[in-house]
Amino acid sequence: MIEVNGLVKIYKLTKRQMRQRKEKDKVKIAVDGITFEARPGEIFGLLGPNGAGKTTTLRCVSTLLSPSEGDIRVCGFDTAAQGVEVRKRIAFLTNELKLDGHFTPRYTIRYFGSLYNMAPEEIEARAASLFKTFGIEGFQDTKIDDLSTGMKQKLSIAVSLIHDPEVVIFDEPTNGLDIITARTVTDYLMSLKAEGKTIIVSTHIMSVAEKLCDRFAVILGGRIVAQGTLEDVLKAAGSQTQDQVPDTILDLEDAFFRFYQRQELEDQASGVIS
Amino acid sequence: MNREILTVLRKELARVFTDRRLVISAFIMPALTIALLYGVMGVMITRMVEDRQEHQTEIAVIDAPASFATYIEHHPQEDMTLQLVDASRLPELKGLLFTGELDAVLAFDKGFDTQLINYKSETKQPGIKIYYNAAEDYSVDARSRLMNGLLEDYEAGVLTTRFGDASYLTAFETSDEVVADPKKVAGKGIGSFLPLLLSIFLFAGGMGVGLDAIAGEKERGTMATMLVTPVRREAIAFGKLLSLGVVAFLSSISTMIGMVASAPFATFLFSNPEAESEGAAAAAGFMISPGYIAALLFISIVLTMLYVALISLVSVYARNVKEAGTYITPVYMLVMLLGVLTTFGTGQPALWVFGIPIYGNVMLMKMSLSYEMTWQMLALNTGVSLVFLAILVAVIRKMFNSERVMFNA
Repeated sequence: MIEVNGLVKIYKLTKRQMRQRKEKDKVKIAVDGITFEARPGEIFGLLGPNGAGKTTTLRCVSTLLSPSEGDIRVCGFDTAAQGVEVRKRIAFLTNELKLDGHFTPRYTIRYFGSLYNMAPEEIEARAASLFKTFGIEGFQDTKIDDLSTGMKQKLSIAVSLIHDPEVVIFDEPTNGLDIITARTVTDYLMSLKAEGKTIIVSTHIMSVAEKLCDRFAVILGGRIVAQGTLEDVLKAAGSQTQDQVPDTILDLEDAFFRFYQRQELEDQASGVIS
Repeated sequence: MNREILTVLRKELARVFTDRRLVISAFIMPALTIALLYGVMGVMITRMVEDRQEHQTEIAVIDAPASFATYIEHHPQEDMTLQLVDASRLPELKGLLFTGELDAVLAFDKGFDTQLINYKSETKQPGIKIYYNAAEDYSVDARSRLMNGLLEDYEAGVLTTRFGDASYLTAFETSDEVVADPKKVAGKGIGSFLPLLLSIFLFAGGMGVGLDAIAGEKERGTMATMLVTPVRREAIAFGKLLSLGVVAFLSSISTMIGMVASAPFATFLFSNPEAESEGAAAAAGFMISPGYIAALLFISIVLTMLYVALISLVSVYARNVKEAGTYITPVYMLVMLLGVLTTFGTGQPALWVFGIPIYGNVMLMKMSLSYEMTWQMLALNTGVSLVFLAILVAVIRKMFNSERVMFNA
C-alpha cells in the first residue's frame, strides 16, 4: 500500500544549475500537490510526458528525496521519518540506477541480498529463481560489462527484487528494451500483481500502460489532471471537452492528448509561455 | 550497523583487488616506479661520481719554478697530467678552460724560487694562482686536487727544507669523538626525508582509488543503487572510508618496498656518513625494535585516515570524477607543501607544532624516526588528529544524507 498525500517537491537551484537549465527562477516546483493511493494486488500507472514530475514523485516514494510538503506512507511507514523501514519493503528501479560492471551477476545479487540482511541460503534460492525467470542463469559468471543491454536491464530487475518486496516501483520499466525483454518484464509484473504486491509504474508509452495498469494518474506540470480506472480517465477526458465528441476518445493516448491540449490552453490563458 | 559496514567494506576491497587495472595502478606501479626511478638515479649518480674520480685532470703549469719541476719529477701524480707551458700562452689557456678542454691553469709568480729562498717575515710571500672554471665539474675537482693534494704536499716539502722538520709548524693536534646516540644519528638520516615521502605516498595511494570509489560511483549511478537498500548511509560512508584507508596504506607500503628494493643502487639516498661511521651496527638493530615499528605504524595509520577522509570529502562533494580531480589538486599541493616544510628547521620543534593537522603528523613521524618523540607530542597530535577526523567524518556523513549532494537534486 502506497499513500501519497498532498506531495509537493521544490528544488532549490544553484546559480550553476540555473545557468545550465536556463531557468530564471531560483526554485523549481517539480511536483505540485499530488495525492493518490496504490493498493496491493494492483498496478498503478503514473502517466505523463518527460519533466511532468513522475520520476520526482517516485524518488520521493522510494525515500531518495524527501517531500517539501505533504507526506507519503509505504506499508504504513512514513518515507521521511522511517526511511530504512520503507526501503526494506520496496524495490525501486529506474534507468539511472546502475550496477557496477566490474562484478558478475552472481556476486552482485549476493551483495545486494546481504545488504537486505538476508541469510546466504535464502539469497541463493531467491537468486536461482529470479535468474531462471529472467534467463540470466547462463550469464551468472560473466562480467556485467560484457552483458547485452537487455540482459543488464533484466539483471537490474532481478537484483532489485532479491528481497521479495511488498512494493515494486518501476520508473519506465520497458524503456530501451527490445520487444521480447519488454514482454518478459510486463509478464513478470503481472505475476507480481497476482501475488498481491503493490506496484507503481511510470511511463509515457500509453499502449504499455493501458495493457498493464489497473488504475492511472495522469500528471501534467506537476499536478494530477485525471485519476482512476481506464474508464474513469476516458470519461474525464470526454466530459470536459468543449466540442463534446467522446467518440474521438477511443483509448488512453487520445485521452492523454486531450488533457495535454487542455493544459496548454490553460497555460496560454494564464500567460505562461511554454 | 557493524555488519553493514563490514559488508560494504568487503565489497569495496573486492572491487579494488579483483580489478587488474586498479591493482596495477595502486600497488604495482608505485613500487615499480619508485624502484626504477631511484635505481636509475642511483646508478647514474654513482657513475657520475666514479667518472669524476677516475677523470685524469689536465693542468697547464705556467712559470713553473725549478723546485716544483723537481718535486713533480720525484712525485709523479697519478690522477693528473701536468704540462709546463710558457706564460705568454695564458689567454689561449683561459679560452681552453672556458670551453672545458682544460681543467685548470696553475700559475707561479715570476722568480718564485728566489722569493722562496730569500723569504724574511716582512717580505711578500711568493704566490701561486689557480685558474679554474666553476661551471665545470672536472675543473672544480682539479682545483680541489691541487689545493688539498699536490700543493699541500709540495708546501710540506718546502717547509721541511726550510726548517728541517715541518711538524714545527703545528702547535697541537685536534681530533674528535662523536658521543651522539647512534640510534638518533641513524634515525636522522632516514628521518629527514622518509616522513615527507610516506606522507605523499599515502595521499597519492588514497587518491588513486578514492576519487573513483565515491565520485565515480555517483557519476555511474551505482551509488544510488546502494542508497535504495535499507543500509544506512553512514554504513556506506564508513565502509568506503575504511576500504580506502586499507588501500592507501597498502599502496604506500608497496611504494616503501620499491624504495627498499632500490636501496642497493641508491646509496646516495640511504647513506648517512655519520650513521655509517658511528651507528651502522646500531642501525641494523634499531630498525626492528617493536616499539619503534609500532609508533611508526600508529602515526601512519592516523595520517592515512586523515588523508582518506579529506579525499572522500572532496569526492562526495564532486559530481563526477573529473570534477573531483580538479578539487583534489589544491589539497594535494597543500599536503606536499606541509610535508616539505617539515624538512626545514633545526633543533627540537615547539610542542604546539604537533597540534597542526598534517604538518604535526608528519613532524611527529620525523621525531619518532629520530627517537625524539615524547608522550606529550604523541598525545597532542593524536588528540588534534582525532578531532579533525571527527569533523571531516561528520561533514561526509551530512553530505551522504544530503539529496542535493547525492542526487544533484
